[in-house]
Amino acid sequence: MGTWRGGQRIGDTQHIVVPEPGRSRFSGRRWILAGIGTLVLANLLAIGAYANSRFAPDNEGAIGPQGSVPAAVRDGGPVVDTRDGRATSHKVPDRTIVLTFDDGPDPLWTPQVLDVLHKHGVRATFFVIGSQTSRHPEFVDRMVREGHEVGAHTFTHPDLAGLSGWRQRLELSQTRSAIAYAAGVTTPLVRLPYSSGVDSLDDKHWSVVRAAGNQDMVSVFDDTDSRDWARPGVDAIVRSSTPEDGRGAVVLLHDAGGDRSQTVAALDKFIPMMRQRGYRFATVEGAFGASTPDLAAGQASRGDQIRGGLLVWAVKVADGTGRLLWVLLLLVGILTLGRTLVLFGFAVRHARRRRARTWSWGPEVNEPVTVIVPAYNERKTIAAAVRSLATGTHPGIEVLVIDDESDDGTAEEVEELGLPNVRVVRVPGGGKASALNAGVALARHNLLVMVDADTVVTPDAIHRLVQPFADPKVGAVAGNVKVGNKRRIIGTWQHIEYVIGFNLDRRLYDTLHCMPTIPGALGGFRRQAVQDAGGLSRATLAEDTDLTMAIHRAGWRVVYEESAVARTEAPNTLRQLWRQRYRWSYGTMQAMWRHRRALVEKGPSGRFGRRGLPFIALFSVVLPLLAPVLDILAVYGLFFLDRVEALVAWLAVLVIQVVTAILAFRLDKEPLRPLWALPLQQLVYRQVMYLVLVHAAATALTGGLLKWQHLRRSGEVAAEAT
Amino acid sequence: MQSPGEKPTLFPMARRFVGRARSTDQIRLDAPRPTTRAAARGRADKPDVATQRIHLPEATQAIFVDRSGRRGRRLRRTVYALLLLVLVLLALLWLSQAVGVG
Repeated sequence: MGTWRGGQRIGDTQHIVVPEPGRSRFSGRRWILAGIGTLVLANLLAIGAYANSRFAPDNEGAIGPQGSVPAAVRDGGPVVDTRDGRATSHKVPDRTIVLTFDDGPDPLWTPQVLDVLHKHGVRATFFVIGSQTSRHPEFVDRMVREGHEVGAHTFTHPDLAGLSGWRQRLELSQTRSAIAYAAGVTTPLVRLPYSSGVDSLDDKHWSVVRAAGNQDMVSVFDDTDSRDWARPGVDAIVRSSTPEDGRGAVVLLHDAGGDRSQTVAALDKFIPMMRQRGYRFATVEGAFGASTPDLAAGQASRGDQIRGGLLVWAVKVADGTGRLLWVLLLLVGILTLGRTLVLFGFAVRHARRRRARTWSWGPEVNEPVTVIVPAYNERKTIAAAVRSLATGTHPGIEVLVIDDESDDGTAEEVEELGLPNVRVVRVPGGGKASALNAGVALARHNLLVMVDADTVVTPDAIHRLVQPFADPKVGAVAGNVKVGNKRRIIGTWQHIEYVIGFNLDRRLYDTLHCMPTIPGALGGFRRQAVQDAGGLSRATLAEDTDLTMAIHRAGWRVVYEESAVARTEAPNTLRQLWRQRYRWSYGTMQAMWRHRRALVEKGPSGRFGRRGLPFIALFSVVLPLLAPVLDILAVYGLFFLDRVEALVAWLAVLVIQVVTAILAFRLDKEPLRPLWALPLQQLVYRQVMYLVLVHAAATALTGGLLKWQHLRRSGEVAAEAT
Repeated sequence: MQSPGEKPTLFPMARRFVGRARSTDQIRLDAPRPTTRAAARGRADKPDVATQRIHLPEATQAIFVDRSGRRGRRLRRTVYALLLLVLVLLALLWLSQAVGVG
């Protein structure tokens, strides 16, 4: 039998020789999509980091040389106008108070400040930060609606004197755009961060004032600093804000940047007190409008509003993305830590129980066993695999090789061995599940062991594997599979992964009675259990996982026997590994979906469904899918947060993994030397693994057809065995 | 139909006739009667209707696979559209900021 195209035999009935996967019409686009996704995420994180720039309170910073600041400005009033190229300053009229609030809006304190102002019928000037305006535009809108004045206090509150010209312009233009979007007005007023009285204006900041003038903005300083940022007490704030001898004053207060309860209380006291003294309250425009033209807010243009809208929503989305990533990081952290603790507890307990002198599965099992070896083009490895199986110490081993229409002489290779207890059956190509079903049907014995054709077992592996069948409730047994080809780093990485997986995860699953997979490389089955499960299905690409779940649901126990050891050949290139894991991930998802009804069923099926499936879904799919968050935030931390903190956090995760690996290696009595590759595994292998999972999930969502892909064998494990 | 006052029978169809004979044979009773219409209407069954292959539900049908490709196409188009929209918005954002600086 075979498949023919154009007079040429291109393959057998199942294993059609298709072109190398990976260059499909969509494969190039897939990477472009991934690139665009990364670009968008990087943009959002950068915007979030920019909008979240940490800043120090306004009081910080020493005064530098003041030689270039005109004396008239230094000794003048708090409003400095350089818009027409000339520098003019204006003083507040006597018995006039201009209340100014910096650093807002804040969702907690700004409304309280507005309420106090409303209560006393006073209008003030708010110098808002652009990033805060983007987050809480509704308060800026309220300020304008209630007759207050809004000025710019830059977008991220940097010391503008330390920034280049374009950054200075960007800070001011972005803040004006955000105000335009929030309240529909433009403002000509600016207060420089870290500025105070005009007398402290130094050369560096004078150039910023002049630059602001070039952008049609008037700089507003203060006469009295309430020093409310230091929270000195209500009376002290009132005292500091009060001008001397009936003079007018621009009063500096803050409606954000910390606990402003004292500011709110002081304001409630200050306004009536000053009114009693004959003062009036005004905005900057109200106080200086007569002496300085064009201080009133104007109507924002449509363009300004659109520009502001884009900025405001970019900040909102970036903030949301950042918050989501931190929440996911927290979730991943909790799940990882919880899983590690549970793994440690259960695995150590499991190992102790198994190592106890009193531990026994029951009377020794010496029943004959049929070992089924499905093989498709396994000429390089089949001889070593079959020889190791046929010469095992278990009495009555029958090795049944099911040749799935190989065309490389696999069957002949086995026949040439001339081993008496080995049978070769050639079946029409139907895939691994069909070959195994044929093996189950043709097996002479009731105890079955399924072994991959690239796997070499230890002499006592089969005997040890079937011992759990002393318990009549046991339907299937998972063996302990190790990677045989560890010469390359990719093999070492997989070796670490296998040792952890088989010595921690499987012990945990065994204890919780929810073993998800009897590995295809080495698994023991009671024939009745396989039949109860309906045999092996071709519905999924992970037929071993599918069969294991079906056996659970049929009411059989599935256990782990760590002393039954086999060495298998792992993929030795990244491409081959990708293909194998892609199939495994996709197959596991298929198997979980196929057995989803177990969640609501009664009896053993329901017990497995409610205990096992959520556990497997959480730790085999959800947690690995969320794992990229760790790396994304590690990179983010290196660029935008404290690098030392980010590095320490990343190293903490590594330490958890190292400790986990050491425990697993100790439990399996494996030498610790390969663990040198563990830090490198965190930089390449882990990322590849979750990309594979994302790829598999995308294929499942799109409904793409994923075929069995035969891996190329190097024959390394087989060569070592012979 | 059962007339008022008539006793119910165990086999309500027993009163029916096939040809001249009373019959309880369900199959005969259910057999199609000759049409009373002069002209045949509708579409006739295919001649090999009796030998058509029965399509049993495939027990091992591949899971998640949409052979029509419709689901994948829709999903891909949605993702393309969303990414395009996001890219356009990002480009507008950066352009507008650049204009603000200039």
